[in-house]
Amino acid sequence: MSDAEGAAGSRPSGLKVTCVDRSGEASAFSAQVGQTLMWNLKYVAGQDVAAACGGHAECGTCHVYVDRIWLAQLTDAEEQETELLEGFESTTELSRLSCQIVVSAALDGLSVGLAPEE
Amino acid sequence: MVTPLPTPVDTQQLDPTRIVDIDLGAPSTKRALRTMAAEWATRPPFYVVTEAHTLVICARHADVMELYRDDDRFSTAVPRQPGYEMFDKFFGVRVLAQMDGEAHARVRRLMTPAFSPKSVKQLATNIDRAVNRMLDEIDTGADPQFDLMQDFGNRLIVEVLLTEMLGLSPDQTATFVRTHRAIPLITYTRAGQQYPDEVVEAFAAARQMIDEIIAERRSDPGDDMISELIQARDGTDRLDDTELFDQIFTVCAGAMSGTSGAMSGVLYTLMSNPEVIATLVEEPELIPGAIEECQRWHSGYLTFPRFAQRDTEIGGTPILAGMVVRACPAAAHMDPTVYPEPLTFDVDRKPKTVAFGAGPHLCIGQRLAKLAMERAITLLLDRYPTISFADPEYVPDYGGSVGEMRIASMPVVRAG
Repeated sequence: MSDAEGAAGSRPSGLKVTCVDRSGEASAFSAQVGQTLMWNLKYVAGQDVAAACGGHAECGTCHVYVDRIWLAQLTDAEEQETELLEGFESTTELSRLSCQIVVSAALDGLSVGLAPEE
Repeated sequence: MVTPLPTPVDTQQLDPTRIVDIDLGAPSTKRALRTMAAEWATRPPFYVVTEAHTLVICARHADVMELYRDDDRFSTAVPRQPGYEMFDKFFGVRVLAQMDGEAHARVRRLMTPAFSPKSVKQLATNIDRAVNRMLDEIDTGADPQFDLMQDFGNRLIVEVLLTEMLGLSPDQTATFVRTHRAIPLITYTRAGQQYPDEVVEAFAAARQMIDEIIAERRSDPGDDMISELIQARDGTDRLDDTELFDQIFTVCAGAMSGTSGAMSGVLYTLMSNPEVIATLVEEPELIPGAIEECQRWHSGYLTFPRFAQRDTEIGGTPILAGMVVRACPAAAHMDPTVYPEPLTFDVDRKPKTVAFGAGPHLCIGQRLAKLAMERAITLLLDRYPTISFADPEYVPDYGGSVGEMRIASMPVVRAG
């Protein structure tokens, strides 16, 4: 079963995530707990996230800005993620790789924005 | 003593409706790229039986993605045993593209900063200098005809990467070009055969040269990528000498192979669509998206191998441990479920392709390659806005490795 098929067949969890796309438009969706934020953004929300390396923190195409009030709720970034983000001009103190964030019940209401493509 | 071959799969146990009779390395196969890929793009994975192996070909986009992303079931590491000679493209060098797991992750992490968006952007001036240097040389020719691949496309990554980024001398780049030309000979080596003398000699020369360069840059570091790799740190970790050698080789040999195929497809597609050239001359901001569509429409690679680590399946097709499983990006790019009307070239499509792979082995140099191609096409069309084939009936002669769509020669006229 492909990722897209898996997402299409899933039951909404009721866990709300808001994503601001690169044009500034905000939209909310019901995220799947246990999947990465990257997977949810791409396959559930249908956002333009290339996810080229498939979640290995190698490409940076899943780069997002996490609303400040949510940053502290996330587990700390590993060194590999931090090092990769250092190589991007669009990185800010709010930057994370969405492939390294696993959606959990504690993130109900999470709000993120897609970083520019580089 | 006869070198034993791998035990062939008993083809009687294969579903006969999934066996396709084709020679993947034949020039005729490469010439039929697009129509063949379009036909394969809706097929579940199928088998191709050769004298030494039973291959599994994954052609649908979803199947290719599954193969690329799962490095647990499908390894890139070439089995070091008789029968797999044709897959050892880098002649025993442990390149990043043929490593998996922790070893791959560690080495890739040490190399990543040199290929980050920031690092690549800093090379923009160097890239333009390299491209303009090639165009200036072309301009010195009295004849308006020149060879778009020999004088430009195949030279691009040599000039950008080897000369500008690595600071290699003309003799040093020539040594790597010789290796680049020897690699296809490896992929056509039959199971149990010795490699041609040219392969042995070319790689020996490259090994010696890299050792000299490492010693040189260690004692007198510059601001080039080799000096940076020597200094690359991961906490207290760094590349040891063997890894350093292997990854310099990866960057040089891997980059040349990949970019030759990519530029072949991009240049041939543009030249085959003069109305697109006219559009891009007027609207150069469309060039990045056009390059992506060119790479989709004419992939630089027909197939790319992986090695099944256990009995499994993709798309309902059984795969046995040890089978060679080949991704077919050319077909994935013709999958109508991802790219509607795939046989139509659409300069406005801006597709997301698998031209640089996907998953953990996504090409580490893809941003550099994309920027180099964008600048090359931009400056080429700015210099020669009415460029055209010298022969309107031109048909490419494909060479390169098995699975690679490398065009050696493309005569064009720089002014209409």
